[in-house]
Amino acid sequence: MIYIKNTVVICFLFFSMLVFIYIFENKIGEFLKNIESKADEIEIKLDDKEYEEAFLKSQELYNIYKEKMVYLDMILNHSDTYGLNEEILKLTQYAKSKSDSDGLASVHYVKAILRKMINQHFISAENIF
Amino acid sequence: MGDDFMFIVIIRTLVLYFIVIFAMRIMGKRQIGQFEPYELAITLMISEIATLPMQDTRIPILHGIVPIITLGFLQTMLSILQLKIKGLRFILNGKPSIVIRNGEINVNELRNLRFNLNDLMEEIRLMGYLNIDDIEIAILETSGQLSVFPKSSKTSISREDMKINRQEEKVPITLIMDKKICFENLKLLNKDEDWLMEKLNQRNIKSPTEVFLAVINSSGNLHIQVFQKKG
Repeated sequence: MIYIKNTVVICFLFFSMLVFIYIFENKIGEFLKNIESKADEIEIKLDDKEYEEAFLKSQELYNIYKEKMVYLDMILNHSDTYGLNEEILKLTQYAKSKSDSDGLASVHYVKAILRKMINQHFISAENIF
Repeated sequence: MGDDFMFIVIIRTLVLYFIVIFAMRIMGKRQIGQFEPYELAITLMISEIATLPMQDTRIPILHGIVPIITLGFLQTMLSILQLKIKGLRFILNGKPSIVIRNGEINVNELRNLRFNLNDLMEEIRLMGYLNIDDIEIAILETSGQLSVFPKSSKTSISREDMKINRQEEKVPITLIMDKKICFENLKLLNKDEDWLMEKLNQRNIKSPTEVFLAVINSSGNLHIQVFQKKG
């Protein structure tokens, strides 16, 4: 009887965990893609030298990221999430000080980290091995 | 800030500790005692996985919990499949090997197992036998333990051999433990509190609070130990 109970408990836990992971990973993936598109917009604004717009968008990006960072911290390595947070913060200042090259370098770095985070969520040979 | 950080480590340790205990309990009692190879692998992995997020706060605690649940599930499923599929049992656990038969060491089997003679002799001595020719059969079990069966001429004499009849011993039942009456056990004996109080009064004990342990022993007698007086 105990044997059956334990089997049921572990199966319930495992399948609940699978459902949780599936839903959570999808939400995180959507969020990261959303952030990535915002970074694209900032890049365009910096390219066009619209610094005011770029500053506002980078601030918006920082606020969105800060708000949802707690969820990212639940499944991603904190060194990645903190690194991204710091880089977005730098980006806001580069946009404010109208620093083209630093701003573009920073936005590229943000996009690269985001791409890395998004790619980590795919079940691929690269990620498994 | 620094203090908070250390508290996080403590909380993570507690959470993971209870999760590992829970996983081990779910996996069953065998996990604690004898390990089959696949159980040993899973237990080693669980202990290793749990320590990583425990000490490194950059790793999310879920990175510890998810593999532990997965390994628990895997172990449970493998145990069930082993019961149903004999072939899988042999693949995962291997087969027991007879290393001594009729007092003769099976040298080929020892070589296959990479089990040296000194280890074998040590195990045999630990089982209480000095000579190999006293042993009828010795089996190296899949859990790594050696089962030794001596020749019938070397076994100790049993009551059955001597034709002595003796009543089977019963499981002792606790009636009072540290001042508290175990009502469930009283019910098992079809007795009530009044009966217990009467027995206590017969020994000049006025209340169960004076009793450290009261137990019906394996011979069916009531054994009572009262608290020792201080000073």
